[in-house]
Amino acid sequence: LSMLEKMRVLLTLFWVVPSAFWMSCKGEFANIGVRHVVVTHQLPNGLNLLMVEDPRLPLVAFQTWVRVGSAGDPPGQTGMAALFEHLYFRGTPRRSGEEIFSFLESKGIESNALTTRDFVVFSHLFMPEHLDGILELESDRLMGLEITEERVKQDRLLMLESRRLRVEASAEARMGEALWSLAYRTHPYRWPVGGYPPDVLNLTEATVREYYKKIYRPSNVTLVIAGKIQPKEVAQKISERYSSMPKLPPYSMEKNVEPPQTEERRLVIRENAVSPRVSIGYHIPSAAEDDSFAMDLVASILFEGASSRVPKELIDRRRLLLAANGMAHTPRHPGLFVAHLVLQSAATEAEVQTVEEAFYKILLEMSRTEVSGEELKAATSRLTLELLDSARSLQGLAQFLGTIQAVLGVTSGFTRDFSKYTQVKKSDIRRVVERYLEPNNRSVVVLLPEKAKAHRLKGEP
Amino acid sequence: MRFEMRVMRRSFDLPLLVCFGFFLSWGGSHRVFAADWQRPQVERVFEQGEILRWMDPTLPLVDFTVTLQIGTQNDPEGKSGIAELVGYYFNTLQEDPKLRALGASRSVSVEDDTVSFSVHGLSADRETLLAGLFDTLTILKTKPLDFAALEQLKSTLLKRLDHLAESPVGPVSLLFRRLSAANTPYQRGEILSRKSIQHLTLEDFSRWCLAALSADRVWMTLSGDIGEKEFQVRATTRFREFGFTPKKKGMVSGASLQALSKKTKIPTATNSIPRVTLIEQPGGAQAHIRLGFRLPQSESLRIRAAGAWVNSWLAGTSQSQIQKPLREKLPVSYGLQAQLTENPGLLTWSVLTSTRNEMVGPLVRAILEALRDLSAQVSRQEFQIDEKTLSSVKKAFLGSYVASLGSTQTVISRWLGGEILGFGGASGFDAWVEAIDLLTVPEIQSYLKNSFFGSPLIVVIAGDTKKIQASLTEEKIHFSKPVNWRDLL
Repeated sequence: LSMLEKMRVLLTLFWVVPSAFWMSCKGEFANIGVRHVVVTHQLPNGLNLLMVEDPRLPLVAFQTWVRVGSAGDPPGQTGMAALFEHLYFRGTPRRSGEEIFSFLESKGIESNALTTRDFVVFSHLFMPEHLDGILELESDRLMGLEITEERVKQDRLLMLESRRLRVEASAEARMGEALWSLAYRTHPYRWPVGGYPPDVLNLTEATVREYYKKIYRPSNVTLVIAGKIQPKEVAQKISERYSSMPKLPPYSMEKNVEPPQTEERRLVIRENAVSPRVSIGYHIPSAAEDDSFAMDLVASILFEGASSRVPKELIDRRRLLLAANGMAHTPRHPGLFVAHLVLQSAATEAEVQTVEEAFYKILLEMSRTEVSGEELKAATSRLTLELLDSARSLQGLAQFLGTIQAVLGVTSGFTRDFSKYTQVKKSDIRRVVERYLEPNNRSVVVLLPEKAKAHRLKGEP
Repeated sequence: MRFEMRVMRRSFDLPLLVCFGFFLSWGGSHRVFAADWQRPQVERVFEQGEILRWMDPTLPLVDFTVTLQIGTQNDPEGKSGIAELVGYYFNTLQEDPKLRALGASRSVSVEDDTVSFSVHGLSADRETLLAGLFDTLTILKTKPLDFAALEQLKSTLLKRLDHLAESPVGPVSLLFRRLSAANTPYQRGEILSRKSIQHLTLEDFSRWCLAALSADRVWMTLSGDIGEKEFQVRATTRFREFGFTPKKKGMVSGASLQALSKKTKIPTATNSIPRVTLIEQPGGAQAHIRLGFRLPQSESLRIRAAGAWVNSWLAGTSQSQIQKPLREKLPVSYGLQAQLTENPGLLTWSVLTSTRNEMVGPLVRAILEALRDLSAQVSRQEFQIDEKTLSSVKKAFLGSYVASLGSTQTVISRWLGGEILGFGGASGFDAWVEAIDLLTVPEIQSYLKNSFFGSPLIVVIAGDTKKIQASLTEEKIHFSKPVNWRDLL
């Protein structure tokens, strides 16, 4: 399921109050029972603020969203966006990395960082008394990160260590990487979020510094603050801390349209794995398009729960698979519907083909016959529920707001998408399956077990 | 987009992954927190049953759970895996169509000491959710399985075991658990063995269900937008009248800290050579290391607090005694996680880390040396902690403790942990913070001297054993003959 889509609908459940108007949409959403109010604000230099006062717990979630992710990495410098997850903790002229750690840890502040194809986010969770300290730290890091060759070198190696841990040791992660690379020929979604190792090793102080100057500016950044705060007071404090940053034009990604896929693409990998696996990807619309809602529902009908279509047919009835999962990835640009099928360890290559055929038959059935009303209603309910679940914590709530702003670029009017899931009809489900999940639009990665050889990259110690 | 959420846990050489054991981190709330925090309401409903209500109307969601004090450690001798099998049965073969139609979820979670039956959904559906929860529990009273279904269940579980090696830290954690929990009912860990699964019968399944209904203690929790009082009364009545019966003599279920503490003895250190065990595990260039030891348990909250403080100071933060030197002198690992885990009758301290197979020797050597130096200083009484360090670690600990109570689920699980470990229900929420706050330097020194160092160090390493052996040999670290990950099953 697309997280973004969930977020988009969830946001429709919140009251959005631009600070200029302070108007309430209470009447429209009172029946939902969600009581948050979102306050939006923009500084003259372009820095966006999204705030939610939630006094239930004495905690504040503070997130700095940089609205450029790995898809904005310069060619040949993949891994650049992700490198900042590490560099951001290395220090500024005013404080060393050790001082940053000491400050965060001595206050018991939980900190984290995350990179996706569309954004990078730095987050903190802390008691309200530490808000001033966090504002001082975050404004300092956004304005004056200290970038040296030594730090870049350390973090390059760290990124490769991370890759070994998270990608190379996981069959599913390796296949995911291969699938996106196979499905996209020109669009930067084709490269891994953490970058290609040779590119990472080639990142230098000069290239990193240039990227920082171009991307880490107010017009590309959104601050999201949720918790025990007073929005007006916080907006004032942020204005004092960040207003000295100059107004500069926002980053604009070069137009890069992925050409339509006209025939199936296929890759077979023989690697060290326990059992055969198949990953199948289909190009689908971006988060901005209405069909993305229907694709989320398709994923739910096919994969969510033991009695959804794929587990019921291929795990329970035919016993061809051990596990199956799938979701519609709908990022800022056209995304990918991905199915991941895990066969039993003794499965042969012929059985891999049987599994594929059985899966395609399920899709064909959905493209010819409408799903039942009950099936669609249950899927819609599941999506709504999952969406609400994700906003149960302050960090989750802040992540909702940040993602919608970072991916769709909207700061108001969230409510217009309200009830998009409930507007999807049975005929829409049939239509999108027929249109997008068709053979010429698919890419297939098959992993067959074979002992792999580990290797060290040139340039690594 | 969910796929895009590639969470990089932390962004520096040795990430701050302070993962205090599930139970030990339970206990209290920060004083700042206590003033404006709504407390859960707890009521004893029958002899062994309590209900906890936690109202949070901010979102239209509810969670209802019934937790039985019977976990994997209560599996009868020779029937290891029966609790896991029952949990797997409910999660795979028993989907409730009424709940599915609502988009709600139901799950059964099997832990060391408990089994929990939970439903989750929109508050508007609370009546159906409550009915769904008790319908599920009613299955325990019937004979839900036939022979063919049991055999299918076992067959699928056996096939899934083949995938243990694909869990990066699965084998290393499993073997560490078995070694550190030797001579306790927790020795098996959560993963089953092939042999035990093959021997489970329909009768075992039925017996387990009966034992579950007679668990020593039963808790029901209602949390979220749980509605008007009438509904809460109805839920309480259903819980009371469901038919949980006190345990009959001779039936296995539950365990008390006191009883288990008396039964189990921690082996004492006979020499300073750590036990290093290697596991051959496919998985590329990365090796996984788990290293730690058993600790004696105490019912004193202050001693428990000292343990939590030591864990944080020793390995839990980037400035800690192990993380800081590693980050500065040997930055070969992406992360190091420190854990203090407590069950009734078992307390272990460990660190979990990973590095390239070729770098295992230097990394293990560095951690061992840090521990040995500290142990030597403690035994020579040369070891000092200043007041500033004492205070800063306390602040870090308390701050992160409050942050960790950010959802109703964490509050409830901590409450249950406290109940199971016997250090108070809702009344213990402040006591833990006070215990940390009042810790003194002599208490910490006494804890380190008398409680922390003493058990043999256990080191388990999984990866490409050829390369790991070469690396360990170069560092003059002895190790036993490698085992294959399949041998663990």
